Amino acid sequence: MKMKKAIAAVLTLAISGTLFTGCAVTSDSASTTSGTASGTVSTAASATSAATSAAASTGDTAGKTVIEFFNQKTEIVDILQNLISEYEKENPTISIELTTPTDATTVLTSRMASDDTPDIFTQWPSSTFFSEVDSGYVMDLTDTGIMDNVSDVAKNQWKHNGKDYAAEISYNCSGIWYNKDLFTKAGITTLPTTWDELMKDCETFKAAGITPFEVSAKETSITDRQLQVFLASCMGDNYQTFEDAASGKTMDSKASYASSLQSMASKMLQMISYAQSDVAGTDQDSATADFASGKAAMMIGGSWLLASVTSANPDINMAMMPIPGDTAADTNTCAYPGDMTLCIAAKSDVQKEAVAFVKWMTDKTQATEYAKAEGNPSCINGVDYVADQFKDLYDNYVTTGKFILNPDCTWSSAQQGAAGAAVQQLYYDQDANAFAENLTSAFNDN
Amino acid sequence: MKTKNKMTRKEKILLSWTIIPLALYTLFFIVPVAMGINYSFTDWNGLTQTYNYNGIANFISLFTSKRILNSLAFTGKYTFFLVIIIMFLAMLFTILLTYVVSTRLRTFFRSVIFFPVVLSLVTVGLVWNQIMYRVLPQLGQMLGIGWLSSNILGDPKTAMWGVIFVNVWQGVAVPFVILLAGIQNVPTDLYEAAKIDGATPFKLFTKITIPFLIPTINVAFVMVLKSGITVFDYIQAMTAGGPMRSTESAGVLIYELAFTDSKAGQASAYAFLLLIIIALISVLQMKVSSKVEVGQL
Repeated sequence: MKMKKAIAAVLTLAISGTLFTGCAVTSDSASTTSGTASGTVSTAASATSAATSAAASTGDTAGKTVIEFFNQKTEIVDILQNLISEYEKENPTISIELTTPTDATTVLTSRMASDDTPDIFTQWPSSTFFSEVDSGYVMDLTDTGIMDNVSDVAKNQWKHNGKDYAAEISYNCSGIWYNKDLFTKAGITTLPTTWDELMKDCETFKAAGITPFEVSAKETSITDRQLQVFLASCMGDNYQTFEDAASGKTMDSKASYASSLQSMASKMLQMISYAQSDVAGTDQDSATADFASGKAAMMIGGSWLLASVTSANPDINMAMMPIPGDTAADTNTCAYPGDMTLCIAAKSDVQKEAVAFVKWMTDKTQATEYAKAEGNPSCINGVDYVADQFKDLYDNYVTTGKFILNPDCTWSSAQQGAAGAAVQQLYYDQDANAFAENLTSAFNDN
Repeated sequence: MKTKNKMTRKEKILLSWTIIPLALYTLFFIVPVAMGINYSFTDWNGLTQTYNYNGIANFISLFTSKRILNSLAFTGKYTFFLVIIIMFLAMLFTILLTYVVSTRLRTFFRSVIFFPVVLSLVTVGLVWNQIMYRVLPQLGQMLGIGWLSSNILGDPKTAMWGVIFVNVWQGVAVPFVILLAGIQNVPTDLYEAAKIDGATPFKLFTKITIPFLIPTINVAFVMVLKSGITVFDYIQAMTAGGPMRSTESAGVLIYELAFTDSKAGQASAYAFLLLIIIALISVLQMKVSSKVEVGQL
């Protein structure tokens, strides 16, 4: 009987124990999730290494101060892990756990709502970010010394109520990615400086049997990105009125900017008339793979695509140019200081240590290392390195101020999705006149 | 009387074993549902620590928002076709594997039909996305079929069918297994008796097999119905609600409202509405089908 009771007790304990399985290894399991994070071909490799490297870094944390670094950018996991390793070597009492989960933005929002904001996190400054600041989740970095490292152009863009909450490390530029070798192959020696020249070049490509554009329109997030670049280049003097009306939900399809929207829509339709077949059915991963393998000469996109394209084809000879305006003087590009931005939780237990790490990350030496590895132009003072792919665009447009901030920074997430759907509708209906109407609803109804 | 009401030691032990499941059920189901219902009466954006109660504004918005009404209509259409196709195929496979296919080949076909279930949805989404983008259009062009000549997931007219196809491919297996188990439980002596009375195979099927299968069909039907009404994963993996929001189901829109559009209050109200719809349909279906069980056909 006693034996029976003992066995029953042991079994009860064992069963009860299983209820708590997994409760004690939150950070490790969260990091490991990033191993299966990407459902995409292009980021699978880096995501897998994310899991490995995160697991390595969490090896022995006994007696150390542990800082959680929540990363939303799957393509830079390896770069971050290298920098973290360097920092941990220099600071043996600090252990930094890198977490890159699936659907990171949703996870971060949920964690903030449950008052569990990670110590350090990457973020893309926008109207949504300001809501997070207003809700009290983000630390004020103004007097930490971190912002002394960040260029005035970058930090002034994202001041909120006169204070700094985000340490911008790199720019994101958007425009046309072009394959230099295919330009040479088609006999095009100078880049187009006007929209008409671009269209002529498209004809030249067609005659040479090369698909001029690779366009992806399956995801609204991507068609929204295409809209950003066209808005920067096509709205001219009407841009600010449009942007104010769009973000203020007071857009009017009969207003003066409507005709600019219509002519912009016509240009977008011209572009897809020179694109591969099945634009609507092509997702960004497939478009990236096709562009990387030389199936098309140009692709609209941002600098975030550099890592995906070069990992698919390390030998590709490509660079970025702006979408040409009606005249060379009209040409503008889209740039966004904040592609890589670090923030610190307002209620972090290790705030002092987190500040020290972010300060170290924004130091000229580390920022240069980051820029060389990742490729995007840097927002950090004193970093001169600019990758070859962006050099012309950076020198001629970003540094000369011929750029606008990505228009959707001031749009709500709902508006971004609706605007992307309006572009899909444009590609599907091929009706430039209806576009202003659809876009108006997209902004006013969301 | 007192002694009669007193629980025995064995009963106490058994009751004590329900405490943990009950606590877990309360913590992970009852509490979140109650919280969701509470949020559905607020303007919570999913981020802030505070929110304001706004009465039934979220519920009113469910019937005035074109996007929400479209998603409800899509969900209804999707569920209707999903249930019809899956139930038809599951029944067809069950009949074929019970009466037509030779015993030697049964295991093979069962494995073939059941195989898609073991694949993860991410894998299924990736593989079928590529097949529909790269393989099927080639086939469509070769055969001169216009609608198949481009990615069917990229056209609002065909995208739903692409998702339903994959959902059926993976979703038919479980109802099929349930029906197969049900059909094997039909007493064979009834068939023998009916055969002696001169019943045709069709009569055997409609008068004996079907009435005995009704409870099993009920279970499979409710399961497929629920998976249709709450469909999220297949759509998220294949179209993310696009193109032009033409495949935005109730589940996808609830997720979008809560996590992308910062409208957690409205999302909760929509989820609550969906809960009521599922409960009503399930009760209705149970009531109707309970009238036509064995002996009543």
